[in-house]
Amino acid sequence: MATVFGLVHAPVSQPGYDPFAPQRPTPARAPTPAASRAVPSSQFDDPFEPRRARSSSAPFAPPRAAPPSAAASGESPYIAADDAFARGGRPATGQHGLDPARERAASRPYVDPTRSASRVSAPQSPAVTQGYRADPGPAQRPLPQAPISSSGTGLGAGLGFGPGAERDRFTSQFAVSSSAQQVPASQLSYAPGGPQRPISQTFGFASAQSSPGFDPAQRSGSTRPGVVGSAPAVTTPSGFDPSPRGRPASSVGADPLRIPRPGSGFGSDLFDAQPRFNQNASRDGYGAGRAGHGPMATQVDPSDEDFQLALRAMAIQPALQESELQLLAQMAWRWQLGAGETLYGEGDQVAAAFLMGNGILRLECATPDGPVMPIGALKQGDWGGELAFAGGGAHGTAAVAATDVSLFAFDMARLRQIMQVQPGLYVRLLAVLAVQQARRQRNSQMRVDQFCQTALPRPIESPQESPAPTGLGRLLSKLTGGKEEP
Amino acid sequence: MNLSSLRALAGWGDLGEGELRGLANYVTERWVRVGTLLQDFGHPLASLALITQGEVQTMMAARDMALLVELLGPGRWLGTEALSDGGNALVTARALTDVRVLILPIDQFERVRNQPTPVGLRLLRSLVASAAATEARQSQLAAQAVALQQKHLRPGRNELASMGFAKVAFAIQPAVGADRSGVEVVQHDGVAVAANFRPLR
Repeated sequence: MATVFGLVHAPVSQPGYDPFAPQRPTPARAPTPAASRAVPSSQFDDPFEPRRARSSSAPFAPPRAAPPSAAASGESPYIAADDAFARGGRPATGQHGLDPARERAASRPYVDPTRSASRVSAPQSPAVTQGYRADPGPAQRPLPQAPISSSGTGLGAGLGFGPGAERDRFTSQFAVSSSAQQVPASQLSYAPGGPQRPISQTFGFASAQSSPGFDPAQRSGSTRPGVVGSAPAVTTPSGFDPSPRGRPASSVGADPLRIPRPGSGFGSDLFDAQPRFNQNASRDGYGAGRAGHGPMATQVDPSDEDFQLALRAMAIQPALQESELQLLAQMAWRWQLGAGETLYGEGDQVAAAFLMGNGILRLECATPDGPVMPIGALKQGDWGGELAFAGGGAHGTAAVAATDVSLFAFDMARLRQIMQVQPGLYVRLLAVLAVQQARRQRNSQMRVDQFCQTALPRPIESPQESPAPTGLGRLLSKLTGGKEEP
Repeated sequence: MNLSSLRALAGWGDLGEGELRGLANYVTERWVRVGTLLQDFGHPLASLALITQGEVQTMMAARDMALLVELLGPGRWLGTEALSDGGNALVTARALTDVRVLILPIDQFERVRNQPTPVGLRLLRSLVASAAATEARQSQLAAQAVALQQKHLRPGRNELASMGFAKVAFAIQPAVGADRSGVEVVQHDGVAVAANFRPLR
């Protein structure tokens, strides 16, 4: 541990000093809202995340949606509208002051009636929800077996739930066993090799499921290289709607892991005041342009060749240790994208960071005039969505698969766990990101510079100095009375 | 060096005293007068800078035109391009007001990476967030440049203005007349004027 964190050379003031140990609060400072949470405040809490009260029973619960009045105070209007709908309040007024439903009906293109059930507002009929449950549910992605305690060094460290009742309360918050619908994995395999599921579900539910009996060795049953996993069954919680587009309004605030983002939730199309580019990217999730689903996510084996090659190409310094490799593999999801599919659109909210495995991902940026121009590419070992490491934000570019692509996704909850469990690894990953960002900045700059060299008009030059006078010139100058130049 | 003003920045509000002391091991504080050139396009960079007070304008000078890139405020980093190969400045940065920056030399950056500490983690998170914003802006500029190049073999003044170029604006340009010395065009936001300079005899 000491070598991982570099404690030997750290600025220490006393023996055994742990630079990552929580520090005593400054006495003079007033208590912050974070300090009043039931979950012990960690110094590795997201410093860029707004401090909001969270439920003690759901440590991973996202910040509660803002009240409608928050829209005036700078909060996202999407959140306010969703919350108003969730509480059964008055529907939001449309962009033009009319009934939003009428506005939507007037502006919405034709929708296939067989698929339009996803837009039905709450409560949905049982038939509709049943139809969605036929969709594969989220794979059980339990946390690795580790001592879960509020003060230990395992994965549960710093998460605020101990081995007893609090842990039960945590698991019951996301209980799936009692009311879950068992779906055989054989029916859910979209590709040979293991349990896979739409990406729209990846970040919705499974990231906080806890299973004490998880054994990483169970995942290594695949015979196909690069694709790992042979979980016998995948469970679908009864109250979980896999399609964010079809989520009833009353359940918008019920999903404890939902990451609020513009464009998600019922009535969000009322707020499209600004043009959105790369519309083939889903507003609601990643890569949902493929028949309502996204690329399929599978679990990652540490011995996965693509994964190891990607880590090697990342050139992290100092090199990864075996335990760190294992941790990264446990936290990652392997995604596949077909050529032409969009991973995320410009302006979409960041929900995950992506480590490129195979293939090439094209980065695109929209110009004010409309056309979307390619401005770069991500290849093996490159990271995308790096703002997930910094607490979130909006993607500055769109990412479209130029070839068939496999990549490894780390959602923000998992990144936060890495930060808590292995802060030294997190720092080194951040350093890699910073270097890659600098390289991409340089590439963009080179394009602008090339443009400047070729397209800009030549600057105004001063007239050339008169050439050295010849003998005839000197004679003429003398005849006209001019002064002879030296 | 008083680093407690960092607590006023977004994301740094809960900075502990221990972290402040640790931060002093990495960074150096500098006060910069308004108008000072913090970095010059094409010149090598040896450090990064975190702006804690004031505003800095970054721009690109190309031939006799200049392109405003960004207006950076407290919490933003300057000179992140120093981390890539080459390490030359991609933009010219000038202080618009009196500015206070924390200088993080490259060797200290490597120390932060190799000997992680909580304040180092905080520094790098802030750096990545700021660099992402800069990258997004430069991506926009690159996309506009590529689009203009495809649309026009030689774009006109309107196209250039729509991209943000200004004629002899913002940039410090050596005078193009006489012996090319002595005169500095500091600011000219009006219509570009063509002139023919003759050396005085």
